[in-house]
Amino acid sequence: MLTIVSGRRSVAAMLPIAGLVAALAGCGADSAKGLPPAPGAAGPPGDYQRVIDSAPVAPASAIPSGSLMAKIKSRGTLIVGGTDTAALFSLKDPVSGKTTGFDAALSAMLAKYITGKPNTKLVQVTVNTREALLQNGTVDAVFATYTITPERAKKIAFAGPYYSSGEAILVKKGNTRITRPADLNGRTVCTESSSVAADDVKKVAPSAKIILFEQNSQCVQAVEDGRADAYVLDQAILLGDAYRDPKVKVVGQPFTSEPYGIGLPKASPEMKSFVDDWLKLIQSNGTWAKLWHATIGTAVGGNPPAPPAIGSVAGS
Amino acid sequence: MSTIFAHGGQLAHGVLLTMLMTVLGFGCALVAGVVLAVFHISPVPPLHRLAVGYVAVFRNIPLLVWLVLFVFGLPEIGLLYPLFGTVTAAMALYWAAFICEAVRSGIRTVPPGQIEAARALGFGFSQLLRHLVLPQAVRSMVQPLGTVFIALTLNTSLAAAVGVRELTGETQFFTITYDIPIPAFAVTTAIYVLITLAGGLLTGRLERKLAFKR
Amino acid sequence: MPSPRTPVPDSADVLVRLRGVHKSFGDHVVLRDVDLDVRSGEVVVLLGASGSGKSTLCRCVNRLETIDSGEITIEGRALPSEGRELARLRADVGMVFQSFNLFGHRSVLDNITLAPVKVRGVARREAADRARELLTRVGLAHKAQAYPGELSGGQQQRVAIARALAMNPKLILFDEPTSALDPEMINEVLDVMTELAADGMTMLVVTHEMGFARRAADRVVFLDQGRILETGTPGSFFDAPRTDRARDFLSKILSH
Repeated sequence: MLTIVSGRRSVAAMLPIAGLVAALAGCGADSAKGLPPAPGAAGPPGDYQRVIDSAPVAPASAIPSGSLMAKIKSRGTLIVGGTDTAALFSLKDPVSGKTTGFDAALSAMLAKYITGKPNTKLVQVTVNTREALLQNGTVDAVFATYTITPERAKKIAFAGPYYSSGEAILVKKGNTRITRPADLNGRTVCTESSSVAADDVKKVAPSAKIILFEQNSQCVQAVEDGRADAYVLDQAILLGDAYRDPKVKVVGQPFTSEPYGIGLPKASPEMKSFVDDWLKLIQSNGTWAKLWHATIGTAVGGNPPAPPAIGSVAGS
Repeated sequence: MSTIFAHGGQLAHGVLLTMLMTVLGFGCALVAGVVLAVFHISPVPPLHRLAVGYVAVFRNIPLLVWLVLFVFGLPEIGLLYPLFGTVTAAMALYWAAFICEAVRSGIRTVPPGQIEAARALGFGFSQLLRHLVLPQAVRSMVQPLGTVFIALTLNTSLAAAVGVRELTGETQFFTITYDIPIPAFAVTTAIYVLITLAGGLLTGRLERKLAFKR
Repeated sequence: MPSPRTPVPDSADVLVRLRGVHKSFGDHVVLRDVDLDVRSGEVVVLLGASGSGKSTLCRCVNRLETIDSGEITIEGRALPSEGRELARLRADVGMVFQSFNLFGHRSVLDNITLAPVKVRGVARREAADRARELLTRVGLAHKAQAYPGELSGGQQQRVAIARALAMNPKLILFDEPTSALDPEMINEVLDVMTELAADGMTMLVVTHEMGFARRAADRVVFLDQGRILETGTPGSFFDAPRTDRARDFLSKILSH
């Protein structure tokens, strides 16, 4: 849901813009929100790394020869389809060059579970390429805030759900007219171009005018500038935005249910049951909750929700 | 494919916006580009410098950066205009720099001797442009202008990155709902090719029509 | 052959006056301290080796080249520096170039009418009638609808002369009008020029055609290294040059 079309290009484009926009506005403060702090940075340093370091490794008996897992193990690296521009889930720190977040950590932990080392290679995917890259074997698994749908499950397999989210609404702080999804009717609503949120808005508010931007930061700014009345996206992301930017707020509760799954090739059914078993393991041994604290929790605060039951969603 | 045709109206709206942006963008860029080219070759130093500076600034910064700057930068200084207009204006200003250069390259094909002869006959700068330089230069401008037209048409797709639901934006939107990216973009590709082919054909006809005996 | 010219009296008005004209391209001095008068109705031929500065001198008169110092006046008025005033003056001074410089995208007739219509504001029909008259005069009435690219060099140059005449100029500058022509076409152009001279047109001509100079010029001016070395009637210059440079020049030109 949160994948961003061609992250490399957007990042390259945003860097000079951040400076130019700041110059135009005559102040540098606003440009800071273009590059939000890496998730985990707000928590005690090392927490994030410690979660990965303490993650389990699969016994050799769990990896039969000839399976996709065996192939990954002999290669020594998990090839992950993902993005590096999704705040809280998978975001590259332009300074350290490290990509961190809930999805990024999960992929490293799965690599470790299979090969013994958290080595991954990230292949950038977009909403348009995820299925094709899994089908042709370019990537082993997709971690990309990937909502499980029966439609998608016809082409690829989903392990999970590993995280349950839902669309929420972000508005300017002073806005009192929009408090629930139906209020979006007749309003201009923006969202990310690669998100299914656009579709969800059409269902709850058919007369809303929808604008698609490539990046989270652009959507937030559109709301601030008044170009859009509201921004609809995954609640965890919006809470993160509101946490960093005092000019906006999140209203109401999530109005959809977005179960995120790990995309896997349909041709290797053994991989799906293997990954499902691993998800059950990290949920039951507390790793999942620790990871939530080190990533999403830094923006949302409070206690982690109960993790979704594996296999509980149509398509998983 | 059947899904795509069943929802043709949605795509048609995107095509309409793409064409509108192409026509408006190219039209404005053409006017601005010709004015810039005239400034560029004008004997008035401030105008000349203005044109040189303009071309340097607009041509050397990527279009996507301009679009983001216009859409997200202008509101920061209190200038908030509708998205479509803002993006089309950015396109026109960007491509005007390229049209200026295409026009200038056309002007360079007019033999300097003819310009000298016209000056010796008492033609002023504007008469020289109107009656001698532009009519002759236009013929050799057609091809480079056609190239700019095609580039502009294809690059309207960048508008999708800043929220305009033209053809590419509409296709992305469509893909989210129906999850058939490859067929959807195949249809979109075909539409772009049709538009640019039409542009190429028009260019060829125009060039033949403007041909004169040398 | 037109009848021999009656000499222009010394009392005739001076049309073009150059005083102390100096011009250089970078370090290269092309004109040094040039004084020259062209009187109304006079035909002055500028002679000299290539690089002597005669073409530059010719081009300075309508300010296609600027001068570094000195003064050029036409009918007693200094040359305007730029803009509308200069354009108005140029409209009164015709010019014929070595490479014809006809407007490639316009027919012969349009080449001749363009300036009268656009610069002078003459009615199109009137301009066209006059253009046909001039084409008849240069022997090209049948080429009115042709394009420059369809004409021979000699024909193009005759059109260029008609184009200059269409503005009813007070003076016509000829900058090596036959140098780019094949030998068999030189005479058709020179004949037109000789007729013009006989009709009393004021002409300043840069040429290597000694025959034309002898037969049509009132006065011959010999330049060498940007300086006027001799000036006199064709007869005295060609038969009894006073300077070694002129003798040397003539011996080279006339020996073949």
